[in-house]
Amino acid sequence: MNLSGTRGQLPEGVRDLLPREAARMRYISGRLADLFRSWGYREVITPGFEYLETVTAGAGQLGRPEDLYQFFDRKGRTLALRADMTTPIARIAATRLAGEPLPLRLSYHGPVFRRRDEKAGIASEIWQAGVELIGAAGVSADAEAVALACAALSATGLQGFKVGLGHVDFVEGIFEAAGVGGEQEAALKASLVTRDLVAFERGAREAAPSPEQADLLVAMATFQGDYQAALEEFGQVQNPRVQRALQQLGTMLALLKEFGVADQVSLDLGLARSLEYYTGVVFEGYAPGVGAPVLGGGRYDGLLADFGGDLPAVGFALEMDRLLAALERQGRLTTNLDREDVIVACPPGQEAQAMAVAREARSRGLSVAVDLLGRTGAELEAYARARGARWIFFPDGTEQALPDPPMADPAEGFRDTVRRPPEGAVTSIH
Amino acid sequence: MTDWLTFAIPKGRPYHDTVQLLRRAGAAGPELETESRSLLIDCPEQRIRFLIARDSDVPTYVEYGAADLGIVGKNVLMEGEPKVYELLDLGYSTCQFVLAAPAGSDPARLLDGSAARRVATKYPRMTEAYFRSRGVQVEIIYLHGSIEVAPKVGLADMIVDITETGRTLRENNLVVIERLWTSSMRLIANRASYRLKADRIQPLVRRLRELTASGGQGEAATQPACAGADQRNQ
Repeated sequence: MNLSGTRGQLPEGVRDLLPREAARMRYISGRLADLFRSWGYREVITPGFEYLETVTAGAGQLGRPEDLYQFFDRKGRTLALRADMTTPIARIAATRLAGEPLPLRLSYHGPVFRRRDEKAGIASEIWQAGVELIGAAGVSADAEAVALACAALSATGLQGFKVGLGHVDFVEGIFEAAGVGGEQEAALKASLVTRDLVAFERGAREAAPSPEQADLLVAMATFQGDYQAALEEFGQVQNPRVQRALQQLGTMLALLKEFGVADQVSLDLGLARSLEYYTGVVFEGYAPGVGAPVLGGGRYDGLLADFGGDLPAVGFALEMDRLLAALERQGRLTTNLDREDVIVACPPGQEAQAMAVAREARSRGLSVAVDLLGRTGAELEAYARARGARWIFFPDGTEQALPDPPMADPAEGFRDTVRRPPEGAVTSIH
Repeated sequence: MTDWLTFAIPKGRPYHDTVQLLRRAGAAGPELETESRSLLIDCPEQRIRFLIARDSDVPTYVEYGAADLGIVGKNVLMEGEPKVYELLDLGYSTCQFVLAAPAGSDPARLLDGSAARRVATKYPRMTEAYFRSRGVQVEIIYLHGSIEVAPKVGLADMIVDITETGRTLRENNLVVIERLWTSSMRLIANRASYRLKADRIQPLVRRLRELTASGGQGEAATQPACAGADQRNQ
């Protein structure tokens, strides 16, 4: 087969999910959907593209406008593929769901689209799942979002993750207290976002009016420790925003203890996520072996105003590709999820019996595929093994058990998709 | 090995200084000093595994989490812009990025935009960013090495390269038109490890900070060791 040009190839930044990966994505998103539902979050599905003005509302999070995929409708209006899920949900909340009782709890799962630099393997189509909690300000709502984020990572089976917690007001207040503003502040914040601590410290020493104020900036950027350590380090900073943020974080950490997730949360006071977009608490989730955050979120009280509804909101998104990669590394996805339990033999002339056997097996909850190519003997068995099946059922009602395929980690993972052997005799015909 | 750290360090010229610094910081054992062709060296006492890599590969190992920490020149970080945290300026292997041209050429004319100029470099991304910020249009010629020969053979009008002593430039009859940036070795961390292994990384960062702040690397830095600079004839 000679495929000339780009036919048969994929553009950069997108990829296929073949059955094995698709099954895993479906499985994880199913666990997440169940969890979100159990916390009272209802799923919404929003369009893949919208008017450019809508997509660019709250543009702070989206980065550069040239990262958007843009095109025109028949009337010449500019459309863009959605670049995040929060913006469409803010639009819905401020418009179509405006009459509903507050707070709104909404969840989503789907791809967003951002042009990326040509670096190989960097996705332009990014699958996300997440929630938005709209219409509730205050620490309890923040704590719910962070606790649900931890619960979501746990629900996927991920081990050893940490959610780092910061606060926009803390960062802004430290800059105020350090007497740094304007262009210097913007440059320092850019270094803080990428955690270029060398450039940050150098810039801080240049910009701050006194060495103590430079030290304060550096202490903020490099802080790691518990709440007590944060109070010792920053409790005396004479700035109302800093003190308010510390107080909120303290209340939150106490609540998170009640949610049972305190061990999974750590303070990360230098955490800076797109500061012009978020307005309060911010958080990021990290997993071993994956360099980029698997989860990110925070409070964004300004976004809904862009759609004419002035409501506070907090939410987070899980990065599904990174999450799947982390789970894969941890051996949490060892079992094939894209297998059949049973292959039904279907030799020529016995189609009717074969279909009846398949129907009966499906009614018992098994996943069943009929061999439409009429294989027999060793050929049939090889096909059944290739599909990972546990049994071959024959049209005459007999069955052949196949040995379990080897598993990397039989104690863990997703064996729960493999059902018990069917009731009744398992008769080997060999 | 769950509480071990993996630390990627560059082979080649900065290796000696890197090892000296790590030894003084108590981050590495004598294992690192033994002559070995092994690219993975375990220091059981420190519970650190060292990964000896090409300097330009160090950020890749760290970005993807194959290494928790790394030491690499700022020049490599600037060109690759990897998504890693830059924690410390370790202060050794300092060198200059320079824009250079054959001796006797007129810098003002080279940069006045009157003709399309060609610039040879190993650092195309930074070079492009530099000229774009100056509003000068140039054609960038990407070479893997021996950049200084490019003007001689008519491949380019100028070069952007790193230099420590300027010797290679002089030997090739090139003069510095402009000093662009300074580079030195940096401590970098994987973004997840920075949080998840903070209890192991933070003490190490503190010790390295103390050593570099007190100029502790001074004696080791007697021999020029800027990665990739002034070693064209090797």
